[in-house]
Amino acid sequence: MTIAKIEKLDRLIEATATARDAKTGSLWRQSIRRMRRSPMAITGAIIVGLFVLVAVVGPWVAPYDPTAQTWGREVFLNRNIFPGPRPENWFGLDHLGRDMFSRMIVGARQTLLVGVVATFIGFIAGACIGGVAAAAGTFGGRWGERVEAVIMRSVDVALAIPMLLLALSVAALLGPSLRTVMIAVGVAQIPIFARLLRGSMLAQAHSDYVLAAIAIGVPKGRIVVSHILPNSLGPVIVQATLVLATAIIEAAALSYLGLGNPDPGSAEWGTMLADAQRFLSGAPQLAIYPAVGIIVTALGFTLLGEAMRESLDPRLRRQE
Amino acid sequence: MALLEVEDLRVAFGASTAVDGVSFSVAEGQVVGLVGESGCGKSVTSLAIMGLLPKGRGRRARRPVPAAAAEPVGSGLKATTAAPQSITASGGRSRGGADVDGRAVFDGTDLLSLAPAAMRRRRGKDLAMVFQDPLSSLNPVVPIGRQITEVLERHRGLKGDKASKEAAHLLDRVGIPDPARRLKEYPHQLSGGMRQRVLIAIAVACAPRLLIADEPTTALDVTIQAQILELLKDLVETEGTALLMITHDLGVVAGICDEVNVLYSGRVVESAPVRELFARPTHPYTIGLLGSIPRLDLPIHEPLTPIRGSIADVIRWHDGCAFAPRCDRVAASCVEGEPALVGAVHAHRCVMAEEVA
Amino acid sequence: MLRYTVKRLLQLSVALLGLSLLLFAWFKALPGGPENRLLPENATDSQREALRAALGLDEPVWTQYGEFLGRIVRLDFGSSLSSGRPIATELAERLPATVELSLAAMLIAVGLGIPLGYLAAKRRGTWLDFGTVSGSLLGTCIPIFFLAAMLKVVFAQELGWLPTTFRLTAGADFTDVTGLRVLDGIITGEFDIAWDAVKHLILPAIALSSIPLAVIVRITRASVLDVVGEDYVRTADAKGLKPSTVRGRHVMRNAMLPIATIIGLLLGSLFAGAVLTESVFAFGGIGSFVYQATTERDYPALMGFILVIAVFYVVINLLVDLSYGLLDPRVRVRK
Repeated sequence: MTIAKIEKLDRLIEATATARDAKTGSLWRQSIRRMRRSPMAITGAIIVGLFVLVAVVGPWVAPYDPTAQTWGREVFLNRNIFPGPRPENWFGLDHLGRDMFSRMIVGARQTLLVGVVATFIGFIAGACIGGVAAAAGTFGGRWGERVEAVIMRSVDVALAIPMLLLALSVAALLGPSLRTVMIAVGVAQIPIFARLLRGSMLAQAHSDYVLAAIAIGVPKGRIVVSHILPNSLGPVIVQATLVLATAIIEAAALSYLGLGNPDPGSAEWGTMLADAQRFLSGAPQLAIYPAVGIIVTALGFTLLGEAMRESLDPRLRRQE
Repeated sequence: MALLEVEDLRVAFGASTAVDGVSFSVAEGQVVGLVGESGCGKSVTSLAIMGLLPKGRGRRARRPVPAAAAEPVGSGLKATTAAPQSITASGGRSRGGADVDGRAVFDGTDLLSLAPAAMRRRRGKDLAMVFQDPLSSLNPVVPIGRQITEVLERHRGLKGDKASKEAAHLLDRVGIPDPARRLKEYPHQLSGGMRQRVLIAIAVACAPRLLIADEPTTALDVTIQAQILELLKDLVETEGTALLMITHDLGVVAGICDEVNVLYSGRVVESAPVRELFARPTHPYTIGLLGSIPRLDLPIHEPLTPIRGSIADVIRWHDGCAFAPRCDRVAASCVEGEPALVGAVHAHRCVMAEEVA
Repeated sequence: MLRYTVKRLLQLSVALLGLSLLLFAWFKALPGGPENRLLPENATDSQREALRAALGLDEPVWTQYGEFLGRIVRLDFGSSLSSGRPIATELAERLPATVELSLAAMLIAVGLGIPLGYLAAKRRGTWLDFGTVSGSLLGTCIPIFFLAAMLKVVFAQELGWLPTTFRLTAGADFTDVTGLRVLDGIITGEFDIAWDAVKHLILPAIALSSIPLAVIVRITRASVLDVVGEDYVRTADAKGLKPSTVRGRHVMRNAMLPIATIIGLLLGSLFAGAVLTESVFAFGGIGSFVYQATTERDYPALMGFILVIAVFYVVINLLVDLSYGLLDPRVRVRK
């Protein structure tokens, strides 16, 4: 799925490299204006906005403590009795007699945290690797080219391992915990970010304004840091938005595989969804609430990311 | 009687008009030129005749509403910035599709009113087209032999060896050496000139009565251009095919055409036999076109005189002469309503023509 | 073409070597080292030492790596901690099930995805287009194990239309030829077995196909949109060819180039998705095995799986690259 997106983002790299105007940022301003008219972007932005809002204020507005097994005696697992929605518990109770509504609201924060931290890890590490490779390849002479080749071949090897497996291996090293999930999902994203930033920087490095900067004798280091890098970030930021969606889904998968938070008390959508699998036939609602939460959130980030990509891609724009 | 009679052809893409009432005719065996700057509607005209424009919403392009209703009076000379041709340069890729109105009578049938399936049976057989960019106009993943035989198969029922033999014969006819071997090659293995020859071979495969060539030499080197023109000329003379030559290059016109129609902003502004046009250009736009090409018979220091402004500086034809904003000889009468096309053999659309001449 | 193939094969072996290095490092870095994973928790120090010696862990790192490579080449991944059987045997036995499931999922994804993507492109801007695009966006956002579980609950448990688990009804008397039950049933003429196997395949295959389907729909749509605007499609129209010829020979043959690449890449991720799907349906393929290995921290098994998948993935990519050469003459000639 992510690799499919790379193909499109490669195109975006080309596009942003060629479409860059004299005025820095004008491309972004244009694309924001275009996004305001796109129903896809608006829907995505509303979903993401709501999700972030809930994640921020969640713990203060949740009616109950998400870990308190207040109504424990009303749930009978063996007889499939799970009280559903009622005035005091809007979403009903979970298998331990906790308030589902509070758990959903509080869980948003953990879910967002997992997504953001994982994406951040992938972004930073990938950007460092890709950035070094591109800078070395462009300005490092023959040795630089070799360094770049070695780095990029390793990235290709890592890309050859399906993301879930990469995350699985990392999770195996670290033992089950929420932190593991974040790191594992993040590490799995590194190769994609690395490849993307390198491609983007190389496209910029060959553009006219960089050639001009070299011609007038701007130091190479400064060209990379203040010209190439800022202008290469567009596709990477788009990718980060899309990765946020993937990260949330992959994190749920890792939880399902038993590599998530071993503490069943914590409220996080992925863990909740994984836990609820056991009661799926008796109480599907326990799975459906967190699943809908995950799906809608992931959809929000995907819509936003896709809209951003489309608004930045002049080839798509022209067809409008 | 003419082979192709185009009457009052109009093409609109949504709100913008690309072709605004074009009329001309092509007689059997005649070479007719359609000349103008990029965006004047000449390519769209040819695509409309071929039925190759993306379909619009079924609404036919109408004459524009009277000026009073559409625009405040007095805005006559002010150039409207909306360039009506902006989308047509790409050959009608616009998403909205084209609304076509008027008639294009070919051998007694109005092509524009034919059903799509009936039109498909005629395309490539009775009338064929050669495109501008030979590389992008050939399918990169299909051998050129197949790209020729598929026309033979479709319209002449030739199959297998017979079709291949005929394809090789066609390649030979358009001057490609070692045709049997070339059949198996792919477009990227050929040079630009060869590719254009292949496109011509495809176009003449079924001996069409009318060939439309849309800037067939623009993407080629100058020496190759001459060869391709020679080839077209030769085909026209030996096969008696009528040729509609679409070009911006007056040199091409002088070299090959019998009749010329000069287009500006979607209308014919001057039409005449080729010698007559070069000897006595009447419309200021034609004069401008002739003035902006280098001439060997003038001293080399003589500066070229470009036409000022661009085709985007346009007023609508029913308000006056669309060329007025760029015209050196503009007068008040130029923007008092639509100028008519006057004259029979040598026709022009300019109210100031007497003074100009 | 031959030189191209050889070059790709060389690149492939380098990639696999790099991967083995990664895996070796991973295996060494596992908490407590590999010996802890192979011994019961209450092992004595002498047992530990004996195992270290047996595994060669007291030798220099590069010797160990050499041994490691040697064992991999001999397909000796050690024994599974949970079943005690050789991992290679376990994987080999279970491979056909996963291959069958993945093929079925890919069949759904390709068979549905390409026509849908084509229609969406042709009817650009209509409700069909909008629905297809939003459906495919949604498809990538549903956790696959949740989709599998919901399909199972609704269609197998509640409605009872399809079986809930396994590859065949328990006790079914089948003949094993290829290991692909549907194919076997057809080959041997046991059509009831084949039909039974198909019924067992449907739900897991649908769940597994959700992401590839979504990706193929979108890539097809984008690719077709690119191609229909090309000049050579207009040339094809100008020739008066039948619409079916224009579609097949001129539009789709060109549009297939990016689609073929994506299909290859997706096959690799299908195996990963199979881990989640198979565990829901107890399908008995590699995926179920890995699910078990993960939950029981059976690292040698996990490593064997990763290696097999990586080889699969890389080989598939090679095949895609080579088929690309067949599909696109420009690549073929450039070499």
